[in-house]
Amino acid sequence: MSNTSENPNPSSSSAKITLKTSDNELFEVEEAVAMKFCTVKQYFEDEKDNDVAARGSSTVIPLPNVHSAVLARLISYCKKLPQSNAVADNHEEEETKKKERKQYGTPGDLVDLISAANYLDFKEGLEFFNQALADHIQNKSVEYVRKFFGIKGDFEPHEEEKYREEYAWAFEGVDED
Amino acid sequence: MISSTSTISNYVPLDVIDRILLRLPVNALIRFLCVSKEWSALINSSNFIKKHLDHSIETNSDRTLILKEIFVNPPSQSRWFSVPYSDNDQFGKAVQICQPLHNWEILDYCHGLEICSAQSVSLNGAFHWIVEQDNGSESILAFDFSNEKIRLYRKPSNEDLASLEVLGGCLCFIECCPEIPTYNDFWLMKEYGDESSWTRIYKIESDAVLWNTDYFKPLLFSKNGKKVLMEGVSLIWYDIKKKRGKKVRNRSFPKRFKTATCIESLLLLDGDNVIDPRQKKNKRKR
Repeated sequence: MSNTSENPNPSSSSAKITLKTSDNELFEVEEAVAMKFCTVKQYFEDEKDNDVAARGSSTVIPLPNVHSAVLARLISYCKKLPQSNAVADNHEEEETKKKERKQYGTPGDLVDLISAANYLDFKEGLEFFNQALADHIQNKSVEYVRKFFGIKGDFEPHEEEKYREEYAWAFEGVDED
Repeated sequence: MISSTSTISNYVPLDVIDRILLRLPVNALIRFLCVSKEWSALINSSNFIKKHLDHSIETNSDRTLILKEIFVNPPSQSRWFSVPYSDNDQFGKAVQICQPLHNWEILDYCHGLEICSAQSVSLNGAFHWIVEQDNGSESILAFDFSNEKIRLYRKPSNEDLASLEVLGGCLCFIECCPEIPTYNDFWLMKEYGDESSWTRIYKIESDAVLWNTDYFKPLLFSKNGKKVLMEGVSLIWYDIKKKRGKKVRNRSFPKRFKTATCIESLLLLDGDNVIDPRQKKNKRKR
């Protein structure tokens, strides 16, 4: 009887894993969520082999490359995961998805999310945020893209000029920066 | 509108950039070739070009319909149109283009095999015909342009009346039964060159579709792969699961037309993946 009072609903009390971000914040997440991050999964399994996991939720996995603000967004994204990467059924749905992809932050935030997803080896997340950034730069000018990614144009001005003339069609209909 | 964070340089390693650029349409990639020499080398690399095309095929994106107006008198005045297609059920406006190719004749007899229909389809650098061998059996002949080799593939079914198309980047075999109840049966060679990968994907029966035509030419899959765009008397979206068709209406299309599909790719930008006629000439000289 005492068991039931301690653990009234066994299914909701799945194992938790604690993640520690670069700014020393602790996140307690469900194991199922944490296992989406292959880097965490690998770390967790190695720990298990070393028998450290016997201490259960006291294991803290350090993520020195991920800031708490970014991790919070990745976790909130994880909870919506099943639907978000499915292909839209029609035009309206596609538009809704595009809007949804925009909700995860400014384009600059997306870069942080992509870097974190890349570090965590979080495949679905990487796919989603890559698409969000692709949506963002698709209609942008070359100047915008250079500025955005901090790239210096290294073509000779006359080379670039010639190229722009030859492929003028690719430079039409570009959004304003 | 630029948010304050995006004006600060966002360093992203090139292998991550690569995966973002894969998702862009061709016109954006052409534009971004002049971002830097590094980006130009990346976008121009044959590896990237191949991955981009594979991604477009896999995700059913970046496709264009080419419509040739049927104009009877005089036929030379037929106009050509290009129609961009990106989202489900939605077509862009048909834009008039120059005639893409001169009309040219296709071989009708090849290496002792009779070509059953003049129509051929091109896929993976090869042309394909349905052919009949001396013993009367039929197969699919593939003629590869890069090495001028011929291969024969088994048909997925024995139905005599059949046709070849390309659908979703795969060779598509369509069995046409002219007797009532008529039907079109669609097969895909999922792994190119592997005869055991022939998969029947759907069948259209005459009583399911009421349009007065006995042949539906498949053009493309909708983005989620649940529907197929087909050319019958007009363009039709056919829902594979629901077995229902819906006419496409778009005022910018010509009244009567023939359709072809084109997947946008960067292939022509890189000599490596394109047959270079000069190279062939040199080989023959030797």
